Amino acid sequence: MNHPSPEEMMEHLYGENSANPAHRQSVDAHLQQCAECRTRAQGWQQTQASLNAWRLPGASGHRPAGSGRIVALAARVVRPALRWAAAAALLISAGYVAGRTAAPSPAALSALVERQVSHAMNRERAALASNLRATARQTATQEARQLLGAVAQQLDARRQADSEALYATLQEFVEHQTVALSQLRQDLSTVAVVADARLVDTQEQILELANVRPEAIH
Amino acid sequence: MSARLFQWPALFSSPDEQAMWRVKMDDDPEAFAELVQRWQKPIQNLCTRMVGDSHRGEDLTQETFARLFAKRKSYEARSKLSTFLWRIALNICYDELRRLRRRGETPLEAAASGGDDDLPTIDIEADGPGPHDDLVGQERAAAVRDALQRIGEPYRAVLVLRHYEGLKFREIADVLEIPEGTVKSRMAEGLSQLQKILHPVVRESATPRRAPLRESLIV
Repeated sequence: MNHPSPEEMMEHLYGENSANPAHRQSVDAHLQQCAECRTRAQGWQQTQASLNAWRLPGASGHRPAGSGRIVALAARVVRPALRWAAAAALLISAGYVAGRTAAPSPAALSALVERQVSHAMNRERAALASNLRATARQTATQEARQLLGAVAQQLDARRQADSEALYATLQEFVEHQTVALSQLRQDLSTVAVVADARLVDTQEQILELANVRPEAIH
Repeated sequence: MSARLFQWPALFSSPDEQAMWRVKMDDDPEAFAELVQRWQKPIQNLCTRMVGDSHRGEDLTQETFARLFAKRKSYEARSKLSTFLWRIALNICYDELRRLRRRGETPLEAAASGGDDDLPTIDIEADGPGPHDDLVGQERAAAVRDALQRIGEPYRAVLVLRHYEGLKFREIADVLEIPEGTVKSRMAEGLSQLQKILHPVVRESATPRRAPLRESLIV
């Protein structure tokens, strides 16, 4: 035999060529004769053994064929299958007996099939209509939501614009009032100054009049 | 009624596929819990071995089942649930490893044992009972875990699925959607890479002690 390929060696090391005993034996025989392949296989086997050093808590490690887990799985698969097979056999027998005792005429059979098909079509049609109604309702709801959203956005925009306009007007009014107040303050100052000057003049005139002698008047 | 009729393929399948079918059709929480209970441990082992960190492995397991539930509608009754589930878990592990590489992170447990560039030099072939068996065992396990993290992800995935989870090469080929021959060649390459990483230790310790391997080679 030629040197086995790495793929064949992997099959051999993991026992996956056991379905072909002749091939397996030929690989075994080659490994006993060929030192090169034997060394290579030994290296891989050592590495395999090293890998087993890393165990995880609760890990089951290898799952050998025929383990309890696989047996339990197989039992669980087979049991329902057997039940179904028994049920199917019972149904077939009942159908056969019923058919033999009350075999309908071709016309009756045709009418029966027609009724069933019609019934099935009606059901499908009803289901389709229901689906269409549901889709239409959903679409309408979505459109209504979109419209409401657009209206709400417009209202918000308008409210914002109104607020801005009102704010600008108030600002203008305040500025105007500020200017008017300033003007008024200036006017009042002017009036006070003028009044003060007149008062001083009047006081001086009164003093002058008080100092004039009566003889001087006559 | 018509929906129920479509369930008939699942009635003849294994409990896993039946449960998954119930999850897909009826969102059955009990069936999903059954699947989680049955598959949690194998998936957690796979994730832990792929990322080299048991805590991260637990997180990835939860993510795997979350994604399984999210993808329940795309599950087809013709395919095996195990294949579907292994594939989801592996993709999540690949995503996580990519994320870790991008961030330049190292898994916690690998970091604790020295990281990628500082592999422990442990005599993993030493055998026989001794006073420090537990410690030595832990160190051997850490050496293997770190060595696995150093080989490429495609090789690691095949090694973990075949060696630790016991899948057949044919099943691994289905999970990874590659030819069976490629799986076997990746397995051989992965074992060779691991051998190179662990080789100095193996050779030093194995040579004087080991019995001739000719007999033990017959599997």
